Amino acid sequence: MPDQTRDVPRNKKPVNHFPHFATSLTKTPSELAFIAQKIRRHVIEMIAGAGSGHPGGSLGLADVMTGLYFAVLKQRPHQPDWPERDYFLLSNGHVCPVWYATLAQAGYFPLEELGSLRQFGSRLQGHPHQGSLPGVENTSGLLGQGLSLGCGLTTAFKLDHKSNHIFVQTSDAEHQEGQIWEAYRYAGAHHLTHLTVLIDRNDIQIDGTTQEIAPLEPLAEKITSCNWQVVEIDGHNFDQISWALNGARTCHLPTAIICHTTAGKDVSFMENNPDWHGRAPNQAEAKQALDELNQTVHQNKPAGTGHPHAQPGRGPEGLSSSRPPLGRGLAGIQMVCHPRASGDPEGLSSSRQRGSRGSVILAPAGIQRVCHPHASGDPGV
Amino acid sequence: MNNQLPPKPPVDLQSTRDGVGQALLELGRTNPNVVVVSADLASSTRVDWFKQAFPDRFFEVGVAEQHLAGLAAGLAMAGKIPFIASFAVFSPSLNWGVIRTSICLPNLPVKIIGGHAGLATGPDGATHQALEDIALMRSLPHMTVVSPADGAEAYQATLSLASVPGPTYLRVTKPKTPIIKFQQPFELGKTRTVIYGNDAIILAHGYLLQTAIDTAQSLSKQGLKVGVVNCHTLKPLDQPSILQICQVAKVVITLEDHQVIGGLGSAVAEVISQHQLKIPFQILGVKDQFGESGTPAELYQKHGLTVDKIAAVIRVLLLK
Repeated sequence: MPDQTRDVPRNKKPVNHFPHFATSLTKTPSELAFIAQKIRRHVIEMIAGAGSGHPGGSLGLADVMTGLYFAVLKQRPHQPDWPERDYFLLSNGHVCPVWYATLAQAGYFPLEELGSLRQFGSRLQGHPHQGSLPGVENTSGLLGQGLSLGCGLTTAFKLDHKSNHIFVQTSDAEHQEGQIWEAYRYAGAHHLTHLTVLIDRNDIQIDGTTQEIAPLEPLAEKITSCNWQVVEIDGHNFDQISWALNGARTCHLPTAIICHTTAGKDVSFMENNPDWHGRAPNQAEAKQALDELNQTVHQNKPAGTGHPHAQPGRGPEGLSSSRPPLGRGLAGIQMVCHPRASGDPEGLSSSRQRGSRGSVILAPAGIQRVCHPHASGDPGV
Repeated sequence: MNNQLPPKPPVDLQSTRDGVGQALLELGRTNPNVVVVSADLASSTRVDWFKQAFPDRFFEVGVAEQHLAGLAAGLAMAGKIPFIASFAVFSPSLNWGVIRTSICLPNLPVKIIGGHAGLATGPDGATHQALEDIALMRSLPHMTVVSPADGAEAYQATLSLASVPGPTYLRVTKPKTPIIKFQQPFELGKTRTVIYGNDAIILAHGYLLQTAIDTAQSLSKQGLKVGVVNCHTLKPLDQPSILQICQVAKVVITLEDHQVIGGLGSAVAEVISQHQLKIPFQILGVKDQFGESGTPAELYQKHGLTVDKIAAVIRVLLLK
């Protein structure tokens, strides 16, 4: 692997941390941000036009979805059934407006069709139906089921000695469902290394914050205990999105990427407001939202100044903000490991090397932490 | 393959679960896309025979029935034909929502095997006696529902269901029963006649088909010609056959080890009402109650599903 550099001048050179996997990383972070804002505008227009839908999560995920479809996924928009493709499954189906908008923006179907969201006879169903649209690979809407589908796909490809990578997008509150933990345990036990789950950690759900309704923390530790690697990133930072998602391909464990996002991102009255989980804006609200989105040319923010949760020093328990940098290029990265190895610097070093198949992956600044279940040198993997 | 594998069917006395286990071995040999997933009941559902023969194509999820259904959906999305095996109270009952959304809505060819169904499960008690599973599965679009009466029929049904392009549910039971002699070969979606007779016709499926046969034989000693028809495929129901039966029989009853709500009786009643047929008709099954511990014979006695009580129902209907 070529030496990774994190000193790329932002917004000038393409994001390309993993050139041997990346296929068409020709977009700069600012270009990606421009696409994401287009997608956000589509989302507002679609949901306002339909009169119902889920704007909060859709706006919050626009950057991750843009990163996926414009900097990560090996797919062919004009050949959606390409056998060698990466699979993307949306488990939290209620945010499908952002999926549909991203697919259309990427060329899977005409942008004009976005206006038919939730209409009778439309291919853009209120929640996704497998095969209803080019690029829509799964049926979802009932939370907690998508990761099991990902396990099944990964298991089948493993059986056939194929290397398709499976990305499954989930929500954070979805982790209150029991089935998703059945799937985590299965994937960890069966070493489904070609499976990656993305968690939209916006901290809110329909009735309030996840902390009020049913606390999820320590989320990363729960997942690592199932023999997964966990990375926490700022879900609005394209450097980190690209680094983490492409890096997940190289790991010898299934990888969960906790994407800290802001629900309702870039629409002031929707941001972090649970009321906008599943409510459509009226005409005036939609106009205001579009005005704000038109004014906001969302820039790829410098590391560490993105989502507040991704800032070094604000980690959950077990993280030490005063821990010294672990090596060149790792400044700003916080690593914690499985509770068994907590605080063990050798374990940290071990996890970092083993997690990347023997080579040190240098993360972009701002990556909060990488959790690895076997940092103590457990040979169980 | 090892030498512990069971003998090939048909044998004289066999449970339906044995028939499924045998058929999966055959499918393993003939269809490389067939895979099997278990939820910690491989032995009880007889899929451990497949596990021994084809370990690479056998997957164990543990006690996780929702994931069982979801994993199978993912396997099917990649072109596999997954058979998932558990007890009927767990799968398809506990994981119904996953089956609905992740399997039936996208019409994926997941093959659900629900074992230990009905009062026939006996001493395990009400928690383990699935009496609602047919209702649950019959109400799902795209789903095919089959309840075989003996080991040989379970064997043939399993082979047939592997070729169905959508989701299927196969209901099997624990006790060993005699192999029944039918007038027609097994064909998915077609009824099979066991005994011809038009004074009354008993439509039955699964474990209680033998009770229907015994009832007909008992009544024949009293001069009544009672027909017995095996409705192994509950969905899609063999509607032409049901209509013909309703035209020739003086009395029609349905008999099943299932709630009277939502099972074969309901399915036949739907046909009768949709066609405005006027015929004496009664649904025999478990009348909106749960089971309890006991031998199957004791439980059938309590719920009126014995030869004497069924014969009495027929005699009363014939008098009307």
